[in-house]
Amino acid sequence: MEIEKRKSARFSTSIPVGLRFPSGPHREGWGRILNLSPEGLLLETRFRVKVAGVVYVTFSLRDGVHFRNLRTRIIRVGYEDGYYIAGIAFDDVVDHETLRDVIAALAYEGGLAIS
Amino acid sequence: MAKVLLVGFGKREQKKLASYFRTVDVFCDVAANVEGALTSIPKDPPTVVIADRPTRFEQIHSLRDVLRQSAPATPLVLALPDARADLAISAMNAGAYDCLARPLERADVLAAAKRAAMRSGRTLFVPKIQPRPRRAGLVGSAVAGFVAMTLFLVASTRAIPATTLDLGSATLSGVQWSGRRLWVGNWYESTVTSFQVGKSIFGRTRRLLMEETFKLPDVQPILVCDTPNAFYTVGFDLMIRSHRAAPGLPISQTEKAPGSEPTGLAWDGKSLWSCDGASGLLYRHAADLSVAEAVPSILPHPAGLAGEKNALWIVGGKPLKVARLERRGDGYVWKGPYLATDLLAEGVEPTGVAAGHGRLWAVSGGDPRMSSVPLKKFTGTPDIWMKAGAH
Repeated sequence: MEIEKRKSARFSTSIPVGLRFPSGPHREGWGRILNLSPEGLLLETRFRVKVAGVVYVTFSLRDGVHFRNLRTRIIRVGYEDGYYIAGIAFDDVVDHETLRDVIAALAYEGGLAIS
Repeated sequence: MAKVLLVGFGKREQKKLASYFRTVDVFCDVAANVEGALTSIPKDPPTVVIADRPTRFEQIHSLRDVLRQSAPATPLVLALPDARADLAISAMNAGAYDCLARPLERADVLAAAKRAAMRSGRTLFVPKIQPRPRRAGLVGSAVAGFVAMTLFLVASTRAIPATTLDLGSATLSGVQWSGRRLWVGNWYESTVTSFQVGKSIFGRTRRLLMEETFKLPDVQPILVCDTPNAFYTVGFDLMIRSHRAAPGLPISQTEKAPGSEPTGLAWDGKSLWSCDGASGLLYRHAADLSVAEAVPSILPHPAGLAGEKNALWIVGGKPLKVARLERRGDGYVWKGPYLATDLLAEGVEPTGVAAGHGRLWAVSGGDPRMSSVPLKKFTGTPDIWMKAGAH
């Protein structure tokens, strides 16, 4: 039996996301959020990301809610045909409650699909 | 057949992009500008549209709209002048699947086009895209590193030790060279440590590689000596001990030192010798550590003893002097004494001396460095002959 370890539901999406890297050859980049939850997100990007690295993400949800420079940490990274698929978690400084409320509201309105 | 439409690129970039797609057998169509693309897309929808960023933002919307109406499964990829995230995000929010930053690299272009097509449920081409530039860099670095390491190893030779070596402790007592191995006693830590001289592409090296440190629980060694059969120490308790060449250097035999102030312990290739600062005698020891012979030193108050094959170097006196004792026939020949004031600072007595690599080495209390002088400078005095067993 497999026990579900996720604290909250993920929502599939395809939202453009801006990335800021505190170190490395690129200072900024972009990609797409593939799924989103109050704890973190899964993104695809052609910019190299490393496990345990810090990335600041900026994105907007459909109703115009903006999240700017949320501090995140990369938990896992895969490589697939020129794209890095990275699972990243929001740092504690991010207000998870706000994210949860916004995402739940959007999901309720049909802006995001539960995966 | 999969097809890519290139919109608004200059001739040179068109050719470059077309050549990228040729490597994966994808045909490229060309539209000189957005207006041209707006008429060609409905007639023959491509698999992917790659457009140079239009000067007016509305043109992106026009492209997006015509794609939505005439080719809803055709994604749009935009080429940007540089890697600015704000430009990319606004273009993606306007309808582009992804953006490419100049310079347009093959892997990025193919990856973005393939991914965009795949997300629209189309297959542009099958071959996998590897992170080529990065891999090339890694492989190049690995090859360069391997070549550099090989060259270093080939060029590295068994360097001789530099004239001064740092042994990392100021409580040294007793040193001895055994070829390229240096044995060092530490009375304070009750240890004996063996070092190897490191390799270098230069002639001399300061690098000493620590091989092993033996903690001697029952001995505070003030003198150490390695021989082919056993390892010997003299401790603060004035006992000579032989240690077996086994892990931990276990003690196999103990004998009282012959004098009250042992200052040297050395191996001349045949016998173990010790010297005593109070009696001014050198002692040749039998296998059971008893004294087989005593030879008076021509230096009063010998302060150190170093062994070579068939010879001993004795250090002592004020100012510091050196003399050499050689066995010859049924007696001994003394050579020296020679002034050795450049071996240690004035007034400093050695706590250990050693001969090796053509030099005489000395350590002293309170200084972690082992200094040396060349042995060849100690020549040119008449021999003083002494009959063996006369004393």
